[in-house]
Amino acid sequence: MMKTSTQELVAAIQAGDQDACEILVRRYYRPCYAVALAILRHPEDAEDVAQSSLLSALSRIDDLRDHRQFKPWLMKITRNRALTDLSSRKKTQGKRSSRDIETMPADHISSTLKNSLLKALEHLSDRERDVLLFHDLCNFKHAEIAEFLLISETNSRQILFTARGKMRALIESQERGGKNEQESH
Amino acid sequence: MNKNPIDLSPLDPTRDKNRFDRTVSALAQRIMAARERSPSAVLARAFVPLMVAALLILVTAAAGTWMLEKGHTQGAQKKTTTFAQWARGKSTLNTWQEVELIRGPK
Repeated sequence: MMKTSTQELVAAIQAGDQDACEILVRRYYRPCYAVALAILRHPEDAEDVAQSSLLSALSRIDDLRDHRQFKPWLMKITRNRALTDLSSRKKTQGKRSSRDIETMPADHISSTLKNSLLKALEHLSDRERDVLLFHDLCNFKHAEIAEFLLISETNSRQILFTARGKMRALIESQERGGKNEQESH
Repeated sequence: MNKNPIDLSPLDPTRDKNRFDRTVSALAQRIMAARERSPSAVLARAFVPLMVAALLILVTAAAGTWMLEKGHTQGAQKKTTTFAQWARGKSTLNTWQEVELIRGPK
């Protein structure tokens, strides 16, 4: 029988099923990454935090009494780790830890687009960045976003609308700036 | 216009499927290895043998207590019979029995 619910997968992991572990990692990798990216604003660091959070949470899954609370529990762990990472990075003045080459992004073609998006994300408020990443990157529903960020669903919709408007304007202005630079050369 | 999602796919870590598959597989292996070493997992594995051992100790202790009590009762009955026969003049007491008789019941 195919295991689909998080509760079933957690029970399977507790019984030592590595396939169930892979399914759960696949399911929650992107949400963890989005939570970390919203705080750290650096994709590679966000991936590091997502991985360490999944490792930490799933290694001590037995501590979680109610498996229905897995998602908020994992998101909380990720958020705390990202905040710790951010404060330690501030202390070491932006010096990044050495990273596993396997986790480096392979597609260099999209790096310009990526940088453009990251620059635009910098100009959003924390809340706008959270909502935009959860909705447009992770496909979270407004109800889920509202529950996680402790806001109303209407508020989540409004923030998303504003964030998208800002992002589009910022990306367009970056593109215009790029074109002007090329023409001047 | 703002109802359409922003294309954030360049930031998506799952975009490169092969790389993502390798990351997931390596991470799952690390998680399972860490779980094997965690104190709760060790305790979970030891739970059944520990419970069996505890049960055996309990059964042994209960059986020992029961046998001791049975031995005490039988011993007391034997002593009472011996003293009763001595009182009726039907038998004599040895030194230890005399000492016990003088000392009285505990």
